Amino acid sequence: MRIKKWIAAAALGALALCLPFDTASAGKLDAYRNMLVAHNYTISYENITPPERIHNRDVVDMTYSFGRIPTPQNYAQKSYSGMIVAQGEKRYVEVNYGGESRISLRQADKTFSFKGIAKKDKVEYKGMNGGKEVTALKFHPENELLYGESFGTSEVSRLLGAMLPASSIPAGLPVYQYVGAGNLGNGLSYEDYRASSSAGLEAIRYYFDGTKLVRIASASYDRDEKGNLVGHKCILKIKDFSAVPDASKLALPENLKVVDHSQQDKGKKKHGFGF
Amino acid sequence: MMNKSMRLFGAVAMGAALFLSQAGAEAAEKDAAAVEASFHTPTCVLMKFSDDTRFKALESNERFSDLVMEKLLESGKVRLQVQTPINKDVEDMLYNERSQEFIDAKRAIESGDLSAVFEGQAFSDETANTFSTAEQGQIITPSLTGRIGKENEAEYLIHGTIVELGKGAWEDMDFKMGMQVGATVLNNIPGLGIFGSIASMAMQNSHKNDEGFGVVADMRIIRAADGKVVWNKRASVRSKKTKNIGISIYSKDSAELNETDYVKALEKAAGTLVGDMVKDINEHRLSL
Amino acid sequence: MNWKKIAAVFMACGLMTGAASAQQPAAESYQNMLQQGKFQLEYTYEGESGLTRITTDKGMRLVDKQPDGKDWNLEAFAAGDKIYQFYYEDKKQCAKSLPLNLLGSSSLSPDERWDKKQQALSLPDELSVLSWQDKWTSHPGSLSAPAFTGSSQRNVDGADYDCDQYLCDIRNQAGGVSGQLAYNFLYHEGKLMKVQKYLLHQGQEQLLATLLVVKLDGTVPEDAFASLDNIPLYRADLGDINDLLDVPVQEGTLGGSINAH
Repeated sequence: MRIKKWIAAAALGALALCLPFDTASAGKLDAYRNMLVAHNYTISYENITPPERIHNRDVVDMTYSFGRIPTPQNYAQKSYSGMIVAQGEKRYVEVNYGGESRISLRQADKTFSFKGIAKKDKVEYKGMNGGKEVTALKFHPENELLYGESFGTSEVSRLLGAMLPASSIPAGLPVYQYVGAGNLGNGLSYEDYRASSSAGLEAIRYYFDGTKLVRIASASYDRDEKGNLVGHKCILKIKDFSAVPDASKLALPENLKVVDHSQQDKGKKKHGFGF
Repeated sequence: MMNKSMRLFGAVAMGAALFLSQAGAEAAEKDAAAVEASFHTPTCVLMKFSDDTRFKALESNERFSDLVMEKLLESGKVRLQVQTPINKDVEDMLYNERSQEFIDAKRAIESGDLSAVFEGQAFSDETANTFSTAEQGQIITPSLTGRIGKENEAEYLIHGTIVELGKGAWEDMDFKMGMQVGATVLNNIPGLGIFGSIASMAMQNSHKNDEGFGVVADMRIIRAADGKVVWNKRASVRSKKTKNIGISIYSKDSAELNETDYVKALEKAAGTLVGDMVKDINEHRLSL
Repeated sequence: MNWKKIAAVFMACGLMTGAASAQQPAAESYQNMLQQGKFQLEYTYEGESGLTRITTDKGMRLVDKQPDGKDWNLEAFAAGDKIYQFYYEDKKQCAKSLPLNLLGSSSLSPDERWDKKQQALSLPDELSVLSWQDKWTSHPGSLSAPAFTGSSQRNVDGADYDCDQYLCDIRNQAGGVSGQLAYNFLYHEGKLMKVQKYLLHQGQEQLLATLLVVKLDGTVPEDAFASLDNIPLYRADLGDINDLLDVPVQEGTLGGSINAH
């Protein structure tokens, strides 16, 4: 019995190793993958092809919507830019619609959500209801493991998240496999990934200028309600992707006042039976 | 509908009357110049607006297209080759034009030839995926726009999208966090993102905050020959003129609707969009 | 599986070691009442005030909340092929209904938050371990079904409990396990008192929540659904003209036949 269990475990381990790891691609994307895993980076991008409007579908499946910053309704179908800064247990995620941004900030075990409004050369920060108060909520570490990391909107989370190693992506999400790499006539080079799932077929091309990631393009195909094959595209222009976290973003803006709802009692009282 | 064609006739008549009233002895020369200038007004055709809201079934886009048509005719800035909006769904037309492209592209990706897709025309920065997501400077399939332009002898297509309709303060609806909601509910709902499910948790009353009826709509002008979007503006308006009418059942064709903020907001949005277009033409930010 | 036990030995506090023994006798009766759909549950979480009550019987489920120890507020209800939510209109209790097959519809109003109401019907995560296939409870694709890993005695906050432990794996795409959720069911004299939920990740253990079971039994009071009597019932907003103009259509009244036993 024991030997059989051991063999089973070894076989499982061997099988795990045989699974197509995207790290099998020796490539320029590895440097970026490592930054993401180390949680030490600044990423700044512009999404020049936002997706068409889908009503309510993204709130139905939590796996695709957890932690995502939804598009404000009056900015639907507009291009946007964004930024993600990570340093260990701190994480700043911003999505910016023409100067008006939505920000989520995590500091250790607390999270905050607030807005930024660009005024001339600086940014004015406000709480979500327009005032000066920002609520501190408890950070749930299990949710990232269960649902995956959020990089802002669903689209950007998917395209950046596809770069993560398979061990950092929860089971159940589409599996992106390395397809190939090459050079283009304009001096850029690329690496391709592809996933096929019940959600459809998607290919992602990561463009490099030398070793610098400059652009991410995605082509996806699925069926609409009438059963017709529809193609979508998304192009992210990567303005910055470096291993230097922008520390100024990882601090809560000074003018915001924190209302703390993050603490649970966790058994400090003597409860005995009952509570 | 009788009312609709009468309104259009009225608008055309008004336009004609304005033109004729300029004829006066003292301004004869100016008139000649004005008449000559009007012959350079660009030829356009108005495509029926798309409706991207969840209220598609109400055909607000037809009503809105008619309102925009009226305003365009009144403005005198463009020459409309057809006096009613072209009643075809442009997104359907675009889909039909591109459906083979999607089939070919999917096959190419499945077979591993990704460059055929990514380095193709459809993936250039300028190429728009749909009418509704096309921004200024982008290009919508020229074979389609060129054909529509030719069929109607129009240099430009005017099209738009209704992005939002509704009452209440929905600008921030996704983001409103009920400050009085304690951590209880938030901490113990598994898997909810920070931004999910917190909005309207504190809302007990079903009626939204009454800030009037809001409309968000886009209008774009597309050059038929090359499919380029030469102008694109979004209007976000509210109308709060009428009290809540207590009648509970309407149909989308009810005459009572004309008195509601819904229709008034659509009128206001149509006016804003055409007004912005006229302003940009007058101030030379848009030349057609 | 071998590697799971190794992890258990490695972590000193809280986790079970040794060979798996049997669940508490009471566990089976709790599993039965939850899985057979006849129970009334009242619970809260440690450090928080306010109770949530879930009453399930004859294929119906009612969830209400008592935020301040006084009145129970109706939250969500499901019966037949419909789901219901509740609200106040000029201090009068009203309800809205939606057929279940329209739950993912793109014409639903985001203001009505039917997704949140659907979730309100689910068992708390900690108790779903005893009824993993509960009709109203969904689980993330990355989470495996719970496995019983052992029983022991535990002292929590100065009191002794009989503890049953279950583990769920959080799986990743590499075929491995990114972490685990461990649930400690604490019984006193055969009665379930608390459930502690831990995250086991990268050699660390973190207490995420402690569910306090105020009441969980298999008898449903006769008047359990009495609060559903005579409530004006409206149709959910589905993108029609009444939805657009915010003039909801009344469908009837909730109550009457629903309460008939």
